[in-house]
Amino acid sequence: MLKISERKQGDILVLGLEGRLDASTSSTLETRLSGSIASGQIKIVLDFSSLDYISSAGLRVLLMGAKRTKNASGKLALAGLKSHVREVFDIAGFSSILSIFSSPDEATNSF
Amino acid sequence: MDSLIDLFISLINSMAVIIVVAYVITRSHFYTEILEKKLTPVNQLLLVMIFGVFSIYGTLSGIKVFDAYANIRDLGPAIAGLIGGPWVGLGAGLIGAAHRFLQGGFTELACSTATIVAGLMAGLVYKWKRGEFIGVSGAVIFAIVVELVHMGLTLLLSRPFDQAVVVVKTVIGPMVVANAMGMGVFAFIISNLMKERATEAEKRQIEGELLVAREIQMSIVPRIFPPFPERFEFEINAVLEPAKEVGGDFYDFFFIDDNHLFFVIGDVSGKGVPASLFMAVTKTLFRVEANLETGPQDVMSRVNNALCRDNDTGMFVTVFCGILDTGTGRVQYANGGHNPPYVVRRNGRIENLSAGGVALGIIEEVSYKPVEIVLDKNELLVMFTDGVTEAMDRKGNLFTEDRLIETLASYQGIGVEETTENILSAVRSYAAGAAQSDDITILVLKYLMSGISD
Repeated sequence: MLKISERKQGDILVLGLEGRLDASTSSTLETRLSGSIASGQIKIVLDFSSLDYISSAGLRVLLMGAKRTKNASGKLALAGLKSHVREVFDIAGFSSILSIFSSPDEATNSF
Repeated sequence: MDSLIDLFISLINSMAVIIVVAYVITRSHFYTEILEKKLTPVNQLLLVMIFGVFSIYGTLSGIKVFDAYANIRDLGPAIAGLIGGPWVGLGAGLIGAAHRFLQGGFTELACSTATIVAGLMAGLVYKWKRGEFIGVSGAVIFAIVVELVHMGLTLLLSRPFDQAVVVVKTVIGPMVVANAMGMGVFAFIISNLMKERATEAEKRQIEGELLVAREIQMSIVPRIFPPFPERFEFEINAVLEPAKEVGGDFYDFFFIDDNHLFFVIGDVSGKGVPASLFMAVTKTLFRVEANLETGPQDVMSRVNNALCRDNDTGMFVTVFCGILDTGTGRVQYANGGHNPPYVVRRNGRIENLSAGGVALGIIEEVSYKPVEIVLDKNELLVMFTDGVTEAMDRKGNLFTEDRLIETLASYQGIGVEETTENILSAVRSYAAGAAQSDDITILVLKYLMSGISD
């Protein structure tokens, strides 16, 4: 299960993810991200503080989000990764590609 | 007033009979062919007969009103025309009309003509819709129009006129309502049936796609073991258990010269046919790019660059690949975002080959770190995909690396085939029947000679 909460901080959209981002839930996030980006919301922070698990399907959605925001001169930033989630990013080599911050505040300040 | 209510009840009664018969017919094999537009002469004739008899039943179940019958005779030909076209509608109409004509009465001409017209009109609607069924509300409106035409014909053709007016006034309400209701329910049955069939067809298509993905995957990885029975320096074995919705796992191994074996294991993000195709491309690229001079890290960079071109899907693949020098046990390897493999040493120690790089297909011009180890006699290199470590039990708990290490530790000094089997059965018994959500792939290499370090 994946729950997505939403808040706005200035012109930055902060999506809080809770639960698991895997093959069965990643399409929910993909639809949400695609919709936001298509409507011009290109500064996005994903708050991972309550995310327990991410699979490669989830990574693919993040990659898609990062590419599309970047193409539109925006950014997708991740924040608050738990250590075992962070490990998945490290193994797949994603830590060097995506913007990762320790807290949502730090992430929003980076824009 | 009572007689009007009686009229209604009896009309609805006969309508109910027709509906039951219609339901049985629509569930028959013959009707499936009609829906698939296989309107063979035999099928058309069958439709004509069935709905002709319907029409006759409509007449017989009618109630006499001043020497005329309130009935649902037109319903049979109307339905026949709507699902079978003008000829079928006309045929059924003629049967119903002939029977009605023989009953006599001063409206005989008008009533029989109306029944034929009903079948013909329905056939024209069929033509107009190019064979598509008109839908529930369309069919109901059509039935109402047919009855109004019927009433018009009665006024036009039946004499004495004032008697015709009395008959029409009495039966117009019940007949319009009963025919419209009968048609509504029949159309509802048909529409439901068509929806059911559409869902079924969609389901079959999805299953077909899953099958395609699985076939791509299973036909592309080497499946004959032992693959190199003449080689005494090493053993290699692999299993790939695709999930129902196929992920994009693959493995491959081949000689790039007499004493160098190239091997690779990978996992494409995503599922189904797209993942299978991406996997097939990746595997092919490795076959093309693999060579001894440049080492696995450069092979990987070149494959990565090729995969990055025109990749808008965000799909990527994690890969571990290496080259075994069969003469010395030396293994050069590179890791592109893949789960680090394990080496089981002779003394039972289990080492993790961590060397991270970026998964392939994401950004161009990435360089990968070359790493080298030496395998000694009977040492194992165990490669796997996350389908192993992330296999779930019924509660959603993961198998994890720890359980994999435990499994490796508890069996020592065994062959490659037993090793893959042990891991697979450990994962299976852990999952205990929980659905397999991702492909499970294991590739095990065992060196059988004494390793030679430089």
